[in-house]
Amino acid sequence: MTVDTTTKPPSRHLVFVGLGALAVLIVMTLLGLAIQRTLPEPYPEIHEQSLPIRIARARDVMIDRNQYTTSSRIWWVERRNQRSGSLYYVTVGNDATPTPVHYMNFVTPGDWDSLKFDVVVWPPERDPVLMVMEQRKRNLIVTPVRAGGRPMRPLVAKIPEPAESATRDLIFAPYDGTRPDLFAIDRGLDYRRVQMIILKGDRNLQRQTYVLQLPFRGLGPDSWSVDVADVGHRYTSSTFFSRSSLVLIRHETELEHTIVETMPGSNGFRGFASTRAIDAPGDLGPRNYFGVGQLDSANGLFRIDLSDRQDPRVFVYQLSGTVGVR
Amino acid sequence: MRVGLLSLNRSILSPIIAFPALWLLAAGAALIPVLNQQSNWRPMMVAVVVSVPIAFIAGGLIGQAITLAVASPDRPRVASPPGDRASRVLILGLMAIGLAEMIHQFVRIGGIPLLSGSTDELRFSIGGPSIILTNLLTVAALIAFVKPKRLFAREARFELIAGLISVGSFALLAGRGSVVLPIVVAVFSRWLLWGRPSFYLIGASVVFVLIALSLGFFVRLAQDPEATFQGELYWEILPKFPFFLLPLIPLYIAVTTNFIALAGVVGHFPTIEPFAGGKYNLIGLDLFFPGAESIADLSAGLTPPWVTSTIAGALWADGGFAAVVIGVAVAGGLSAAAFAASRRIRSLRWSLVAGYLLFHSLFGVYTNLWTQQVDWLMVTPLLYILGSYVEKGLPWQRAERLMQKSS
Repeated sequence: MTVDTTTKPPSRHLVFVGLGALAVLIVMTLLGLAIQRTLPEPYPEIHEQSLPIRIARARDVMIDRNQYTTSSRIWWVERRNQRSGSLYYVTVGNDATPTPVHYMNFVTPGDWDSLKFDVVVWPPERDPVLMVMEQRKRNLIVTPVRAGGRPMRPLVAKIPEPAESATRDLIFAPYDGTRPDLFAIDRGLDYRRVQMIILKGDRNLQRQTYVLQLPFRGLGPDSWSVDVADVGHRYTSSTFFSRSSLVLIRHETELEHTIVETMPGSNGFRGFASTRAIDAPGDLGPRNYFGVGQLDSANGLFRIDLSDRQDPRVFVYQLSGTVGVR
Repeated sequence: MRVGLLSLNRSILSPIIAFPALWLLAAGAALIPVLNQQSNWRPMMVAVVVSVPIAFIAGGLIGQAITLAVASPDRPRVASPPGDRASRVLILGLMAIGLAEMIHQFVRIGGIPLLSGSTDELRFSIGGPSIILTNLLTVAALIAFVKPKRLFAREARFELIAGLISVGSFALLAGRGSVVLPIVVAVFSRWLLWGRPSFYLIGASVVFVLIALSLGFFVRLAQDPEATFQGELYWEILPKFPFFLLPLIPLYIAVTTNFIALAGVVGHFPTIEPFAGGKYNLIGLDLFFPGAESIADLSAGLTPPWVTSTIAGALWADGGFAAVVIGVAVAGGLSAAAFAASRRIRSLRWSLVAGYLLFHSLFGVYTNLWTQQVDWLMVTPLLYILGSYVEKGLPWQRAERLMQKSS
């Protein structure tokens, strides 16, 4: 034990040591802050727009990922009566509140409760086609309806009903071929992994390209939304395909922000390519629809908020950015 | 003889030696892949892990330099003899208040956690503002354990029993940390005040702690054998190792999983959520800041079941690099300053404070006791003030002495 029993003034080397250590701390903090600036932050909101009040009546809302306009259209289906409905759209852009365009009236092939919809470009048709999908016990019947409301020959996909209590998303998106493929995603069960089946569009949905058990369970519709879209994940030159990725959007009450996770199709949906927040709250409430679309030719995540029936709105979040040191 | 920075830090008890050494050892162990959840650290995680010991040393040097520059050298001052009545009354008084609060907690939750069938349920029901009074048991135990020069001597029997009762009452709460803290701090403080214990005692203590940790770990796992981690451990990890290394696996897991949780937190902020700006470091004062949240709750969702993310986890979540560097430097500064004071002024009070803060620093490999449990804000001043009283005599004793002198 060494004990000081003198009362000498503090030596100069103590001052040097103290100041030197302080300088180290300052340099470390500045360096750290500089590195930290390269970290990705939540995707910012880049556009907000009012939508016509009419969209609040929608039975289903869709965002197209088309190649024929620089900005996506928001489509919605309204129920007219037991056997027919109407399809409307607006184009997201600079208008304060865009005017809705009536695209077609159509006849439904079955009961409204069993129907799902999507809008796609379905070659050789040039105009967007409404896909009316009816799940039956053993098959999924898909009826493409042309502009003007003329139905085409129904396509029969051999996928049976999902398990009881499961939610099935049916989304058309490009994966392999000239026509978009149909992605059937079964989710929302705590005891079963999420399943994704890809049905080949070029073969009129008669052939399954992919059947995949994703490495997680759950994904209940109350706190998760799902989309399939090309969000530009390209890993190497050998895997360069314009293949759609699985986009998972998590919006839970306890989250400060909504979170977007993508599993790239170009990589066979193996693992997550990115996990980022968007500049939207986690607690969004019901009647918020998500989808990837385009705004001025750039990819964006669209959020269509119909929670306020008198003031429906669309928000667009940037979906790209510099990824720095993580 | 003058105490220089160099001679000061030749001791293994110097925080700026002990903490960085332990940190680097733990970080090195965390790089050995054993668990499925371990993955390569991203560059930012590496930067955080490297910056922590550097910031700690820098802060510690500043703390020591200030202490050596301003603290008046003092004659060695040790505690009054074990038989001193006033200090025993003080210890009894602290114990009485602490035990009364302990009984209050047991009545409040309707049982004694250690003796109950639903231990965890009762343990986590404990709380309320008056819980801070149980800190008096920690203070009583530390004064009792550190004050006598020979703890196991006949004349120190009162202090030994009082200390054991205080620590034993914490055992009734079924918490490990509150039992380990007074024992480890007492070892540090006695080392600082009375000199290094024998190597036999140190070796025996290390073996005892290792056995207790290992047994406790496996007993706790056996309570929930169906959990995912248990499956990984019993079927994948343990069969890979020779049997004589198995007791070290709990130690390895206890250390490395904190870095898994830290990597989760570093990856989460600010990419998924923006930095929280204080929310996670104010949890120790959540009575006054209702919006405060526990970083462990966040980690439970990010890297389950691992929830403790070292000293750096909560700091990173709140402010990134700046918060980590400044926060760790402040911790290093406080701890090293107390250590320097204990070496410069050999006294019970500074030995108690230095031992207590050294424990908090070393615990930084596990979690951030400085902000997650702010008991130290109460215990440290109490150790200093009551330690002074025990050294110099209580106020009424000093008054009596003065009166005797004047007469």
